Amino acid sequence: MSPPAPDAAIAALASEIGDARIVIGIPSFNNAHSIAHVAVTAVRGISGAFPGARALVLNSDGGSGDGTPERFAESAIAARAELGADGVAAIRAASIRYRGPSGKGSAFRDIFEVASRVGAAAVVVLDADLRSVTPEWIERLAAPVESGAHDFVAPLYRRHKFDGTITNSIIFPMTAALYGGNVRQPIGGDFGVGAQLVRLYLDTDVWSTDVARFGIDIWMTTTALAARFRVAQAHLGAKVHDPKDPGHHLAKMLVEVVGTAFGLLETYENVWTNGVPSTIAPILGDPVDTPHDPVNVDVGRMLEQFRFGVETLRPVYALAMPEAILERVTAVASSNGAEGVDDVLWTRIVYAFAIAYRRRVIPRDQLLSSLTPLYLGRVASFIVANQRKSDEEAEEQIQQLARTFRSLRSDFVAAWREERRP
Amino acid sequence: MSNDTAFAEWLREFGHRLGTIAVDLLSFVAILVAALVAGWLVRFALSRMLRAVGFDGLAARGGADTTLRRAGLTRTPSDYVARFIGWLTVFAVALAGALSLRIPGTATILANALAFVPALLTAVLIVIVGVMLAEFAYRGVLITAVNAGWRGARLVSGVTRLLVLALSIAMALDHLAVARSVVVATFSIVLGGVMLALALAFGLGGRDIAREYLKRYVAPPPETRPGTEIDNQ
Repeated sequence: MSPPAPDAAIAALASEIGDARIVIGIPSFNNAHSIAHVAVTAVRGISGAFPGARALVLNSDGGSGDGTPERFAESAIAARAELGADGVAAIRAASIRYRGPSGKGSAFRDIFEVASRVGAAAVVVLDADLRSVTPEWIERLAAPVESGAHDFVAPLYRRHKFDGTITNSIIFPMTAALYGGNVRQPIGGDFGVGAQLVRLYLDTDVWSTDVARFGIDIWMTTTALAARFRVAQAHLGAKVHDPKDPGHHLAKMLVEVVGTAFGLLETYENVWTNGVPSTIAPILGDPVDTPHDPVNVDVGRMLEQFRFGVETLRPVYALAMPEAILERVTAVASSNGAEGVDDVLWTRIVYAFAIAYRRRVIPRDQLLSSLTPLYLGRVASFIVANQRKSDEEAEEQIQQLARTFRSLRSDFVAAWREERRP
Repeated sequence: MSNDTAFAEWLREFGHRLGTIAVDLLSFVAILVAALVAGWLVRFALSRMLRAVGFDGLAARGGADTTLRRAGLTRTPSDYVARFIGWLTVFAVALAGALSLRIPGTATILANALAFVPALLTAVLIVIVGVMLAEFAYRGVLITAVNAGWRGARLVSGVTRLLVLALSIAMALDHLAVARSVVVATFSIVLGGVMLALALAFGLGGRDIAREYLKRYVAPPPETRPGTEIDNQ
């Protein structure tokens, strides 16, 4: 099914803009306090990296009530004025109210639609709450795509060794093991995309699904890898953004992110069950050595949640995991921290949950929610094992986990094909 | 008529009646056997059909298999449904057979039974849906409570399951018009008791929080003494 026709506003905007080689898209919802910095940086980044090129900085807003589009317009106008008459003529700025379900994916869809209509060679999407974005980000994300060397550029942030645990524990190792590429930040949020891939995204019927609401990042990366587009990674330094909503609980995040990743296993079943390319997405640019925020963690509370969860949710886990894995998990949870959730056990747990998700042994949201205590056990084990290690040593442990996911991949593929538990 | 003739007549009549009863009895046994065979065939076919359409998987997702195991019932949900319908077939065929033999009272029993079947099936359906909903709610509450770190996760989820089950059973019994007043009264007492227990548990467990809340938001602010400036910094 083809996506519905864009509304008149998008067609009118594209017609007014005419053509643009670069499009910087900024999805937003109530980001009035932070969007100015991103808009100004985008304008400066374009003028620095692509002097004289026709470009569009496009804000795709979800109906903010705090004046985000107005703030965006003011700051973009001021930034363009700094560049003089040539800059004003080359770089345009516009704000649209996106269509479809509320979410980042819907905002991206309209950005892609406009970009496609104005014939953009490169589209860069940036979160509206970024505090650490610099003009260099634009060059690093857009230039490899604009030059035609790559189709998709994923971000490579400098992060604290205990930050980004869902990425480090599940999304990165699973994506690397099943789709190849070794993309370190598949759900980073800031990407550079080429025209062909933008067209593929627009032609795929996902814009009324969860992808439109919360799963856009992993969907874009996975689709680029699965469709064998040329993927690269760009050093961007630290990513500092607004603190996340404390009401957005860990369990909900797991349901959203891991649920989308598991759902994509079904979509791209014919890709990942038939081998994985050994190519690694090249890392472009020099590392940006910026300091990152410290991360405070309460390992004791995590271990207690793990022990309590395993003890209490045993009937649920019995439906999701084979007996042998459950027994091992129980033994680890009962050891009061003496034993940890090691790489092999964690990989088997994730693969077992992916199979259970496919078989719908219980409602999917309940299944993914029940992963929370096990995930906390794994994160606590990782923190304990890497407490005294450097960022580089901890990174090596994460790469080792990805290798474990790869080594158990064939068992997983066999279990998936047979629709049985691994 | 001589005594011998009368006796012979009685004997003939007795033999005739005995023969009729024996034929009826044999016919009934034959019908019963036919009913059992029909029931077995229905059970066999239905069991195969339910398995083919993935009924057990659907029931597992709704939590029916877990509930059955917890109740000590080890067969698959499709087997139980097939058995139930199979026995219903045996009953229906046997009753129809008895009716054809004109066994006294059979017609009344059949009429009552047939009138009762739709209500019985609906009641069974209510209970099945109730069991599935209870398991769904139990698991959802249990997982949420564990993720929130509630020590009483099992208690809260268990009570939730009990309430949903009790509600579905009460609805089923009410639908069958079985001791309506007793069912309603019992359910009201049980529900009221559970709610009271929960209120007491929350009240006793959270009385310090409640005291703080009342102090902060309900109690009047302390009076300021004349001549004392309120510190606004």
